[in-house]
Amino acid sequence: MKFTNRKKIFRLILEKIPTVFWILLLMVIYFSVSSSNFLTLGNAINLSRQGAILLTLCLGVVVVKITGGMDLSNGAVMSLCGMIMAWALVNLNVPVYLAILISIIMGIILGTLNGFFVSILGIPSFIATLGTQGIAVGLSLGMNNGNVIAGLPKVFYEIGNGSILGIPCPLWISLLVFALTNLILTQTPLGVYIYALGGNEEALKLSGKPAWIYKILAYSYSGLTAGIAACILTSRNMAAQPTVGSGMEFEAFAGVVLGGSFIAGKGTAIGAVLGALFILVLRNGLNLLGIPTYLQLAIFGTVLINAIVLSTLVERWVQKMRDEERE
Amino acid sequence: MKKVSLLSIFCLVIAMSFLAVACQPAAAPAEEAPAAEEAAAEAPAEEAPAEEAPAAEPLTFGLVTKALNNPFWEMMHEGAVKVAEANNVEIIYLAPTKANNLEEQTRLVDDLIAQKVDGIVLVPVDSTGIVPAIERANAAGIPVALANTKATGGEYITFSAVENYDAMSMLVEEAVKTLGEKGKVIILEGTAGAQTAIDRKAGVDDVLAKYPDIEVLASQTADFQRAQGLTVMENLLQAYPEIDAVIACNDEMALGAVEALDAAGRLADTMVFGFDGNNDALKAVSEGRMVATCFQNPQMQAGDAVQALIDYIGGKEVAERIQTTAILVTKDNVAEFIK
Repeated sequence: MKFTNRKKIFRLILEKIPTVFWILLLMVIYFSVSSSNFLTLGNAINLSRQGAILLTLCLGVVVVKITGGMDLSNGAVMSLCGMIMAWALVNLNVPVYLAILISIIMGIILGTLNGFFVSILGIPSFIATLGTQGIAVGLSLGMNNGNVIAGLPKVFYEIGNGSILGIPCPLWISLLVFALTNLILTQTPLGVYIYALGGNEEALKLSGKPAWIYKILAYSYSGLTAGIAACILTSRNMAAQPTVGSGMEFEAFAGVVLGGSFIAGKGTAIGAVLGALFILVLRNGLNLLGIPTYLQLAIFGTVLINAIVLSTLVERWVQKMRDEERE
Repeated sequence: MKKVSLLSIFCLVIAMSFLAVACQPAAAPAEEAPAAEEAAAEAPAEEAPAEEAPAAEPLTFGLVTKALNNPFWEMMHEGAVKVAEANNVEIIYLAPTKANNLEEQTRLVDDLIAQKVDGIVLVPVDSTGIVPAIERANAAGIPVALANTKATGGEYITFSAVENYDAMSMLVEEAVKTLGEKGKVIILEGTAGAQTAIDRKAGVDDVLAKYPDIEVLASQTADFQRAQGLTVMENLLQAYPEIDAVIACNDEMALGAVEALDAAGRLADTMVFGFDGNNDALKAVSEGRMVATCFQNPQMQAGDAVQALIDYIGGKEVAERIQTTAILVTKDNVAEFIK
């Protein structure tokens, strides 16, 4: 009796805490031992500043991933939002809060466009978001003939570089986005429908719910987070560069999958955060150890695949234990 | 059940051993036994130059370039390491995995600051966007030396580079002269938005504007990459039956264009001009496949920047601008550059 109890607790731990957390923990310990500069306050602040961008993106992607889609456009959308925001700040002299709003609205519009393509026109999300990516890259390059937009007001600097109560502003922002994502996914009917979309779209449709709206909303949310991330990114560089976000979409996607969203209908906000942290800590740690960039890529790929394999195996294992208990 | 757990342990071991093995050469105080052996073997080699220059304590510099996919940056790396080794300095070389990505480069600089290196040699992806990162290094008291591409703000001890605008103008003047001031020309531009691409394009445009008989058929970007240069050129070959010259804003694109022209059997009718002075391009010039390139001595650019950092830390005066001379390389003088 006692034995089964212990086994049950073990299963619960494995089930409730994503596997990526343990790997992350292992990695942090490893880097702390090998590099004296890793576990310092300076590096923690550094990580939270540079990491907030990917964290915010991941929190949007996870929602799309749960519905069973993927978003290849958010890196480019982020660049475009940054360009438009910087353009408005410099040429129209709009106040900072309005510029932020413009960036977020622009993100939502492009996200909704994705949702429209996928949900109404029925284009596979991979292709639809790839198309949006192209549009966004082209527009942001064309806006200022490929040049950066600089000369942003000094107040704007605080978003990416300032601190409130000793905690960097970017971290506050990503914490807020995390809270919002978690709220939507766990506390609202929309969250239930988003999981249902990934679990069984037909059933949701048959139950008479307007599934297509929820699908669009999921993509809009991903656009929203891209717009928010654009604010942090643009402020950190104090300039908007048209290609700055290229490639981020893959990092965000990898982070989300690492965080437990292997198949449609699975994934959590906390998982996305852990997945993003995994990628950030790995990159940061390898840099601090002074590993050549070529090797870093190989190590990164190996660890990534192993982490995902391990997570899937644990998942299957937990499932098996659950089945045994039921018997 | 048993199989599953075995497999997971196996994977974990692979992952961790890979990490451990890969980390060894870089992590100096390694904790595992085989690593200790390696460190022991390395130690005497490191101590030897230290004895020659007893005053200098070993310094660590970070070198951050723009990309991994262009041999040009590898040449800069070589140049930096050469000067560094002669002065008992360790170089940590980092580059964005996504070519010319500002966001990633900012991260790399921040990581070097967290690592408390003694100096940073930086090749900014973007002159304006990198400024906050330089300011953070300033705030941390880490001296920054720029190479190849300038920055519009922040404090840096020196800037070591050729003037891209001037050097490109020189190359285009040579191209115009070879063409006899008239002809149909194609321009291959660099990565849209990249600073060097903007400067070089301006050089091309300003020179060609002076010669009304030179017709620019097309000006397209090939992303500073050879494969892109090949594809873009293949497409342009379909569109234009007569092309007198291709002016590429770097050698990689020029070499891609050479491949495309060669495959189409039109290399004899078209002159190709490049920029950088890569080994492959120098070879192409000596073989007559390219007409000219502009050697901008990346080894010297990076080496000078490293030297400036060493001098600065040593309390010596450092020139604000180190001008690397760009040299026009044609068939006549190419032999001097080929090693």
